[in-house]
Amino acid sequence: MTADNPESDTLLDAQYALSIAKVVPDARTLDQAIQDYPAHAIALTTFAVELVLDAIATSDVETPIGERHNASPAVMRAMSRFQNHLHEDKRDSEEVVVSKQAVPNPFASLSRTELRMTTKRLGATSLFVMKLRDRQVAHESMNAGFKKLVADVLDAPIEVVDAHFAAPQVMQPGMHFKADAKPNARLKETFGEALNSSGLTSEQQEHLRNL
Amino acid sequence: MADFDLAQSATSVDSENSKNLFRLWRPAAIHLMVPMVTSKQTVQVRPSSEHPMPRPLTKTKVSGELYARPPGVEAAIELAISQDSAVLRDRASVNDRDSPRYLPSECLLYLIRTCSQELRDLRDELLFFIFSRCEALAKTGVLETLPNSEEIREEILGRFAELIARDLGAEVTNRLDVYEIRFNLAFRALRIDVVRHMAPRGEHEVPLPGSPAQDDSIGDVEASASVVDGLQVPATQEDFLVLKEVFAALSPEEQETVVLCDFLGFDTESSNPAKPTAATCCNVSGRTIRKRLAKAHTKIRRLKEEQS
Repeated sequence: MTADNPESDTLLDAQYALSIAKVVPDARTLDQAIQDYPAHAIALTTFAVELVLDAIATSDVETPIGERHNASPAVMRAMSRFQNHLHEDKRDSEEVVVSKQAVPNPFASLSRTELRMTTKRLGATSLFVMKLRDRQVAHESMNAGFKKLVADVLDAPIEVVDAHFAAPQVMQPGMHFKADAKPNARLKETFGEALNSSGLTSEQQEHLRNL
Repeated sequence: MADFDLAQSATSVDSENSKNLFRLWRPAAIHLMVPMVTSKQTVQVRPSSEHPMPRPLTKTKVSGELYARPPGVEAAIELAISQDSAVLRDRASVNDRDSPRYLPSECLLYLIRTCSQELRDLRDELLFFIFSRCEALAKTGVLETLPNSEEIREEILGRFAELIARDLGAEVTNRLDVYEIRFNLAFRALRIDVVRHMAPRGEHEVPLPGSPAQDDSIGDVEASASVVDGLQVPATQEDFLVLKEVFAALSPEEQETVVLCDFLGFDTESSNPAKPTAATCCNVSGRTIRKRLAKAHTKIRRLKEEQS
């Protein structure tokens, strides 16, 4: 339950479904869970074993009744973690809104098909174009020829494209990420790093680097 | 362990103080009245009905069917959303499940999730109470013997706190819906997951008193299988106590094998390599599984004989 990506989200769903189905899972409940989530059959089987052992191990343990008025340090820290996380979430979403309003994003209005066409015309990959869209590449490391190509392909003034790349990085709302904490949206990749890490062929990298 | 945290529906409504606060909660009807509103927004709209219904869950099963709360939870929520904040504050502080004022955790969480901005102070108080209950649940489920048990419990609580923050924050999520169905069992899934990641390897299993038997013979697995008859479906507290005693006599490997074969119905091995078996699950040979099972069954039989 630590990660936040579609695959681990499905595993979480599967684990929750199995856990709330029965106090002690049996063959039928596990079968059903595996039918529902076949990709997680092994993880679910391990989890089912853990559920059975846990149910047995905790069967005679009385749940202690908490103090009514005395907050334990652990509860206070949980409250603090809640507040911090809530505040962080709100700040991040506000930052996204502000930065989006401040500088126009020439990629923002593109439909999925247009985005694919753009990718093709740039001779790049979707991942690379996503990085451009989300301002994840440091503009000062881009060559002028590349910026001009982007402006031509997007049919946008070069000033707009320049301003877009120079603006602070944005994270798409509702974006999933693997890390426990939200990634910092301020550190950008260099143009060279982005070319290397976006699944481009060596020919594509060479072409874009030498524009 | 209770199926869900609804020992009984609270019935004590302070009619004098009950100033029907349903306008301040976000009821189900809002979705129908204001189509553009998402479940994340806090809205002050008076529903058309004088008897507000709990907001339905939005999480779906793989089949596409919507998850639904048990009727007892629905009834408890219906009652709670008709009560005023003073009553709810008081009920949330009751930890005795047998008390008629006890507010089930499923219900407590519903109130937290649907609390409007105007009731933010109340929401924070309710959060305090639910975290206290979670702390108690974490205490029962994390062995004191673990060297980092305190740290693990705190992490469990922290993860739950983050789940709620995310639910109330900007990101649209319905992950907490399962907690409104069977709170303790959903929380168990979170607890086990955290323990698995944080406990030193092998140390979160039920501890084994004494050393395992040295008998290496496989024995007659089929013949001894009857020793665990009646243990697979523990129904009463007594069944659980017997099981706990039985399992305490087994090594972690034997426990796993017994659960796989006797509880979850796995074959020891199969000639079909694609078929999941106890052997494939444990990544050992069928012979090893049969040996573990035979040892475990012998111990169980011996224990039963001693008891009788």
